[in-house]
Amino acid sequence: MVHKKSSGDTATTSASVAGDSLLEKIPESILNEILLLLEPETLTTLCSLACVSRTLQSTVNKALSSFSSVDLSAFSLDSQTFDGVITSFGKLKKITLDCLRLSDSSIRSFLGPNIEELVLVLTLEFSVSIDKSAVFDLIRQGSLLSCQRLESLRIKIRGGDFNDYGFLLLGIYHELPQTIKVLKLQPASALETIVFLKTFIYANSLVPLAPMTFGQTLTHISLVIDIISDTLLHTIAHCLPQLVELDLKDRPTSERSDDLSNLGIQSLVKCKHLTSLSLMRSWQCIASWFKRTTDIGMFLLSEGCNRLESVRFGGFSKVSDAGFASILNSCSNLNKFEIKNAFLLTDLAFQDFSKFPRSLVEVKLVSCNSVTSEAVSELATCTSFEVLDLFGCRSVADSCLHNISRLTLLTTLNLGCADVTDVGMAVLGKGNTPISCLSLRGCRRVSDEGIISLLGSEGKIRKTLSSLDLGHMQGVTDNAITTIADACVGLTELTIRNCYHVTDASVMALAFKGRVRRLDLYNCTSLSGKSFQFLKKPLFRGLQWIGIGRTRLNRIGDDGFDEICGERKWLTICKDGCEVGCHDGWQFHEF
Amino acid sequence: MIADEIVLSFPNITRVTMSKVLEYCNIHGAGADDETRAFDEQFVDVDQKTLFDLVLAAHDLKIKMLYDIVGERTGDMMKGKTPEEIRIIFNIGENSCVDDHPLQKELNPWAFE
Repeated sequence: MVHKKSSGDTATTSASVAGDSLLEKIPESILNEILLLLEPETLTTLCSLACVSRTLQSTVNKALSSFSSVDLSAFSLDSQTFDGVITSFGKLKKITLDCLRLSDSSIRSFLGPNIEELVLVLTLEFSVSIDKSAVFDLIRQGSLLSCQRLESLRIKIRGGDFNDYGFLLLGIYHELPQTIKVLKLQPASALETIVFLKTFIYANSLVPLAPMTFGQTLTHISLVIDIISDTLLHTIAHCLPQLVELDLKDRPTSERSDDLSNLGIQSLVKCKHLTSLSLMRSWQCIASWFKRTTDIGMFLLSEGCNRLESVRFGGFSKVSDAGFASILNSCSNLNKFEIKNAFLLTDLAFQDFSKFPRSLVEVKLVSCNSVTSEAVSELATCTSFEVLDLFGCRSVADSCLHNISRLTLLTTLNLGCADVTDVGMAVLGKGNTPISCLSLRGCRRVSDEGIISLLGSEGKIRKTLSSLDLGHMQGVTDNAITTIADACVGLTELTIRNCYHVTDASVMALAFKGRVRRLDLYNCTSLSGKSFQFLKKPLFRGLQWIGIGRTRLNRIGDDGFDEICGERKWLTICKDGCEVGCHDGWQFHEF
Repeated sequence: MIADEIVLSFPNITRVTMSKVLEYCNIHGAGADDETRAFDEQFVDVDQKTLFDLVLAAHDLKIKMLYDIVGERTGDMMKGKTPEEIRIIFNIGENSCVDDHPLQKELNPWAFE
C-alpha cells in the first residue's frame, strides 16, 4: 500500500496532528466499551483503528490486552499466524477459534488455569487428515484437565458426513475437568454418553463420599448425536436432574427399535429446572421421523416441565395440534418456540393464542404445510416478536403481512416458499418492521415490482436490511438487483442463487457499489464470463465470499482465478454450490 | 419546614449537553415504546462534537440507556470502515505511515481494498 505524502501540506497536517480529533480524546475505557458493543465486528474494527494513527494504535494495543474474550472462528489460522496474533491479547478467559491447522504448542499456549470458556471449531477440509489434528492428541493427553476453571466447552466438527467422523470425539468424557457446567459436542455418541453417565454419575450418587468427578455441576448439555433414544433421555434425566438446558440433534439413516417414544419424553419431567429443550431430527435419505411420540408425550411434558422458556421440536410427525398447543399454553414463560416438519400442525393449535399474554420473542414454524395466514395473523398479535421463520409453509399468503408489518421489534423474517405476492411486499414495505435479515427464497409470485415496493423510501427496511435471500425466484431480474444495490445501504449478504434472469448488469451494479461482502450467484445461468472482470479490485470492495458454481464464471481458466486470488487473498470463491460462507456443512468442499 | 436547595454541579458537562440529556430522560421516563424509538433515531443524528459530549456525559452520569445508544451510534461510525475512511470521518491527521500491526495484517487485509 502506498500512502501519498504531499510535502506542500506539511503545515496543515502538523496542525491537525496535535490530536484535536475527538476520537483520539475519548478515554480508553469508554472506547473499549463502545468497541465491545460492536460484537461480532469488534476485532475487524480494532484492526482498522490500529492503522489510523499512533495514538489510536496504542489505545488499540491496550484495549486488546485488556480483552478477556476473543472470537477468531471466522479465520482458519495456521500456527505461525496464530502465535503472532495471540501475543496481542492479555490473559484470555474465553476463546473461540478454528483449530484445525494449529499445532500442539499453539494450543497449549492458551490452555491453562485462566480459561473459563473454550469453543473449538474444526472445519473439515477434504485434503487435511483430520485424525492427525493436534487437538485430538491434546485432548487425549489430558490437557483439558489442566484447565481448572473451565466451565464451558464446545467442540464442533463441521462439514462432512457424520458416519465418517462420528467416532472422533470418543473418550472425551474422561478428559473433562470437574468444573464443567456447559458442554456442547458435535459429534457425540449416544452409547458412550449413556455408559459414562450410568457408570460415573450414577455410581457417585450412591457413594456420596467418593471423590467428585465430572458431571456434578453440569447444567447445559448439547449433543449432535447418532440416535436420540428412550434410553438416552432416561439416563440423562436420571443422572442429571439439575439440568437446565438439553439440546439433542440427530439424523439417523435407519429406523431403530429404541427410538424416542412417549416414555422417553415423560422421563424428562424429572428435570425440574429445565428451561430449554430442543429435540431435532433432520431429514436424511430415509424419512425416519419420531413415529413413536404422540400427543400424550407432549401432554405429560407440558404438565411436568411448565417452566420451559425455549422449546424446539423437529421431526415429530405424529404429534398433532393438541400436543403442540398444550406446550404453547402451559408454558407461560415461553419465549422461543420452534416446530419443524410437523405435518399434523394446523391453524387450530394457535386459535387461542391471543387470549393470553405472551412474551414470545422467536417463533419458527418450518415446513409446516398446513399452517395458513390465519394462524400467522393470530401469532403476529404478539408484539414482542423479533424472529419469525415460516420457511416452507406453503399455505401462508399475503393476508398475514398486515399484522406482521406492525411488529416493531422484528429483525428476522423468513417467508421462503410461502404464497406471498407483490401486493404483500408492498404492505411490508410500508410497515414499521426494522428487518435486518429477510428471506424470500422460492417465493414464485414475487417479482421485481414487489421487491422495489418493499424497499420503498417511506419504509424502514431499506435502511435496516443487512442480509437478503432471493434464491430460486424467477421473477427477479436486473431491475430488482440494481434497486437493491442503490437502496440498501447496509446490505452485506445477498443470495440470488438459481435466479435465471439475472444478467451481468446486476453483478456490475453490485460491484460498483461495493457494499456486499458475501454474494451467492450459484446457477445464475444468464451470467456470462464478462462478470468475472467485476471481481477485480477496486470493485466489490470488501468482498469475502462469492459462490459461482454452475455459472459461466466457472469456466474462466486457472490463470484468471490465480490472478483474482493473488489480488484478494482472503476472498473465498466457492464453485461447489454451498450456501453463503460454505457453512451448510453436509458437502465435501475442496478449498 | 422548607428543605434547603440542593445544588448539583457538573463541571465537565456543558449547558447544551445537559439540556439534551434531560430531554432524553424526560421522553424515556414513561418507558420504551414506538415514539421513544423514533425519538432515539433522530436524537442520535447529530454532529460529532455533540455526540461525543453526550457519550462522556452519559458515562459520567451513569445513564445506561443513553450511553448505549450514543455509544452504538459512535461505534457504527467506525464499523466496517478502512483506516483511511476513519481518518476522514473523524478528522484525524495522517501523522503516521501505515504500520503493520500484526492483527491488521493477518486478520483484516480487506480493510485496504
